[in-house]
Amino acid sequence: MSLSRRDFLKYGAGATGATVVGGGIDLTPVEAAASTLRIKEAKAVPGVCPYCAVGCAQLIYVKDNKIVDIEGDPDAPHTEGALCPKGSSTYQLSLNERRITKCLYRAPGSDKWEEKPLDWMMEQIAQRVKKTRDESFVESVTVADKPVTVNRCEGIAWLGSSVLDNEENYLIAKLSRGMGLVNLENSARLCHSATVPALGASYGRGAMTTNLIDVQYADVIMPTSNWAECHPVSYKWVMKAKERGATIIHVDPRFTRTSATADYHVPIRSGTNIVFFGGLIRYAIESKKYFHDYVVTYTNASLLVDPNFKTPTDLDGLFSGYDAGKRSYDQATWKFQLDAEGYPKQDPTLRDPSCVFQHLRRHYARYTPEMVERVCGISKDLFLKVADIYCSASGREKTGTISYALQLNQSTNGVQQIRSLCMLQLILGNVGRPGGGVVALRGHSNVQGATDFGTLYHMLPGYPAAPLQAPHPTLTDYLEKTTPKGGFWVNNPKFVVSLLKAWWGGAATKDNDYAYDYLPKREKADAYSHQHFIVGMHQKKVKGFICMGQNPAVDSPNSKMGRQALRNLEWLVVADLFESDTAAVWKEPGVDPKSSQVEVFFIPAAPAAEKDGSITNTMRLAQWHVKAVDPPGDARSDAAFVVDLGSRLQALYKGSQAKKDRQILDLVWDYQPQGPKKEPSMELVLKECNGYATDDVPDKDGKLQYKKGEPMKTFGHLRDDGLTACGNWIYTGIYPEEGKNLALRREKPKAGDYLAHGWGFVWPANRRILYNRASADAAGKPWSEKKKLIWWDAKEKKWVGNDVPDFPATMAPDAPRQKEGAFKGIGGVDAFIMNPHGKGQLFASVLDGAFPEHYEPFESPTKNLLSKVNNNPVAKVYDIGDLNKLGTPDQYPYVLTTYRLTEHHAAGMSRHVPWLSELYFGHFAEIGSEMAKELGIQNGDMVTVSTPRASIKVRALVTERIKPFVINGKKVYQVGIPWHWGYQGVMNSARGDITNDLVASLGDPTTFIQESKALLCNVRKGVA
Amino acid sequence: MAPSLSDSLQHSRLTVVEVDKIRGRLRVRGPADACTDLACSDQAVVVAEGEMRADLALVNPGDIIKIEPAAGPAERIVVLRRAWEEIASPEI
Repeated sequence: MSLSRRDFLKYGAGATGATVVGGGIDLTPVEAAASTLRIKEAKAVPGVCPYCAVGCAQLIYVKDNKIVDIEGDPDAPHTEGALCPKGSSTYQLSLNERRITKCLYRAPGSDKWEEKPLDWMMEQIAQRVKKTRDESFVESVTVADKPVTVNRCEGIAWLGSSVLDNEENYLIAKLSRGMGLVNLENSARLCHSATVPALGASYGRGAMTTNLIDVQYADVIMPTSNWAECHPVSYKWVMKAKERGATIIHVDPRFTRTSATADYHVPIRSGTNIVFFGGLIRYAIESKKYFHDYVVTYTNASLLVDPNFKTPTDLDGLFSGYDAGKRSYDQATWKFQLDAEGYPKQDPTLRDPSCVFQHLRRHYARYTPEMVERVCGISKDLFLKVADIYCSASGREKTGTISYALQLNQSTNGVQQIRSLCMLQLILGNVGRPGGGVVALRGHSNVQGATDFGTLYHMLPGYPAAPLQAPHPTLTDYLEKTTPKGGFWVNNPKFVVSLLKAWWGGAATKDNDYAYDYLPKREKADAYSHQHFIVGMHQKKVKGFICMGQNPAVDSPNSKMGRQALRNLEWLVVADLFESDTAAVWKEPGVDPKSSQVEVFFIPAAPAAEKDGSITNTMRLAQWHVKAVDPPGDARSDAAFVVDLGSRLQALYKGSQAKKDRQILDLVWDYQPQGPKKEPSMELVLKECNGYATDDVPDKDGKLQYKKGEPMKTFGHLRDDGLTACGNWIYTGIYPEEGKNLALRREKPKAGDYLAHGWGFVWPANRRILYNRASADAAGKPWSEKKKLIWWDAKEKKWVGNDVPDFPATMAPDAPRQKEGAFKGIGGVDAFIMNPHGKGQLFASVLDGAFPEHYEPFESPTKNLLSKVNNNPVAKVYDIGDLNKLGTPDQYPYVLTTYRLTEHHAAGMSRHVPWLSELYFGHFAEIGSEMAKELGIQNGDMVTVSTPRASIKVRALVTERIKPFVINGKKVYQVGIPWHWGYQGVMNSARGDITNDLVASLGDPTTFIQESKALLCNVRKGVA
Repeated sequence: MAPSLSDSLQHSRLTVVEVDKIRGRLRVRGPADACTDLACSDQAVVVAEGEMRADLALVNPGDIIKIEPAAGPAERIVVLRRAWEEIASPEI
């Protein structure tokens, strides 16, 4: 490698600078030098950056089976060859002295690792899994005096990862369910789990609606995260928009590099986003800046709501149906009035007091500019200024984009915080249109894919629900209760049966409900999430844990409790590149190794550059990376570990006559492992995910449509009679022919194809902008020439334009509502095809409200000024006694928010990379100068930050970037702390106290995501 | 040809349009969007979320139900999905 440390720092600094003006590194001089030095005669292999979810395409240069350089791929349409400092340092994920290449074993109570052979390790792990599974397996329970087969194992938890590939997450989902596991998660739970129900309830799909490239066509952009520093390469599209004249409004508690590029910085107190967006909704309605025709045509604004429905305006903070004893809502009144045919009544004038629009208006009437000022700390003048600018990005000629990340997600009302901006985008007519939409910025490379592939306790690949024991005892019950009556999800039986066929093949027959009983059934909805199973480990109910590519010792909320939970385990498997904090939890500084009897197996893993697979970036773009070199030593892909483990478990259970073991023995598990390390064929896995015919498949006229084994071309061809198998229906089409992998496609965009349909594969069906039917008016004509995307071609009788229609291709704009078939309930103006009524949902059923309502974070400096209900009345509070004490403002007067940095990544990977670790002096807390002065703290002083859960010692970074807020007339200081540090790391600056120790065990009621963006703390100078 | 699982699911499930609790009558929307009136006999029971009642108190307009048996006088009206579930996130 000829790129020196000095060169890296030079270009890394360039990247940081470039972040401010558009992100990424200009590779021109590097390439010029490299072409004669490093990469001469080297082979270029397509790669994908494994850090954040921008998904920067890379070229990995290989010579003599060694990586000599990794650069950005200049042909990539969404990143144009740029890499940020993390992406530029991916070389050191492969070539790194700290890389562990041998299997390590820590015996119970031991104070050291021992090297062990891979085969011995795998056999031991398989035996532990089998033993714990057998001991904790629940085969059947009684529900309402009837036996129900549940086939679940509660004694083991498995953490997949959003830095693993799609195929690896799929294999984990398949094997873990095939073992009966219900404790199944990936890191998306802790970062973006609120995204799915928020976007899903609003639009129908829980994914980013638009495309990063399209951001350049926005007239106004409102980032609510630190986009420039956390997703730097994609920020170039914001800067391009600015060059085209767009206005940028940055809404963030801190002034950051994003603020520096913005026209307006709007400092907001953490945890109050619903008040801000509610205020904008109110402003848009009262100033009549909403897009009336769009709202009437494409949203449920005109539908009439049950007359008994009440909002917090009527009930002082609660919706109708609240049951204080159960801490939940009976949603019986959260529904529409029906006409004589059973469809919702409408008032297209939007004047009926019962219509959604009028309810919305009344609900947000309280969210005045004055209230925004008192609650959020945003001055009334500034709010009115940005409200006018943003709400003007509406109508036929203008659109605006809103981005968000964890500031909105990580909250006890995270789903509703996100939904509030989704609703604003609906009333402004900004969804499905160029320059519009919602940009969900994910922090791990494959958060989207790991979610899509179902390494989450509550869902299966492609988003069908994971069954529950009481409502779903049989396949019929399950399908009847989880399949809507309208919208494209009426095809749910085809997706589910095809999934069961992919998992259990010939053992899944019509006579046994396609092996539905093999699927483990959850006991209840309030169980098995990340926080649930960490508490379960603490209470010694969960005894075994497989942790791949994630570091819960640092990234779990209330992580001090979490690390004790890990030490309470009987056995722990960690698969990673480096000795993570989780792997080393038994020797954490200050802990006597003898005090923990956890048996630890460390499996060396391989980074993306050393394996085949696909990663789905934040805009639903799946890109394939090709194995550039062999992993060193015993290191191998995570897929190899999973496939090997599955094969060994099948061997261990071979001959078993127990019914409970059929789920593992009948699992289709032949991925053709090759070579000494038994690396499975990832293309074979991709084909299974895509779907294939299990036998010859006739079309509706009886002609042969697919030969047995042929890949499916579209999810429209999936069947519910067992003739098709499909691991993840939303990815169908990614592998449409034998040997044709569209994720691997890297075609330069053709003229006019700004969305670059020839680069990779975007689910669903390569549609780059979701809900794009709404880019045209009711008659199918573009709202404007400037903002056209797809339109109805009356002559050709089909939708045409610059994107794949997210709509039935030949359904005319005046088509009546379909009475039967794949699009039942959808008519020619129903752009939101996944929703039963075909409309964007301003009014929706979410566990904590039909509209987002503001509640204060559980730790807050103020009472709720909007109602008497202070905190989300249905939020999850984990019952772990003193380990989950909450602070009050008299003892903990400062608001604490957490955040991340450009040069570090999540909970640990970057701390093992010298090029990155030396870019920061160490862990710190960002404190405003006024607060620092009050406390006598100088820049660089060590300080102690405390919550009732823990204290951490960090260095003070005294800045002007965090100003005090005036909340309800009282000055409130806020402290910002990044959360990357832990006790493992390549150098002193990479090691530090763990920020998440400070965080409480609380959860959003829908997704159980933690509240780590707004809590209370105390700060004092010194560490004594 | 036998109807597919998806088709039979669509046909067997009915949307409640109107509930006349006093007269024990339900108006429902069924296959091909045709609406019909059902008179519930004294023998019919309604089952919802594990609860069972002999009147129509558990049924609301907009709910998705099925009638058992599929042919002949209704003996059980099973509430499968609540009206508000049709406006929840279709992606779980």
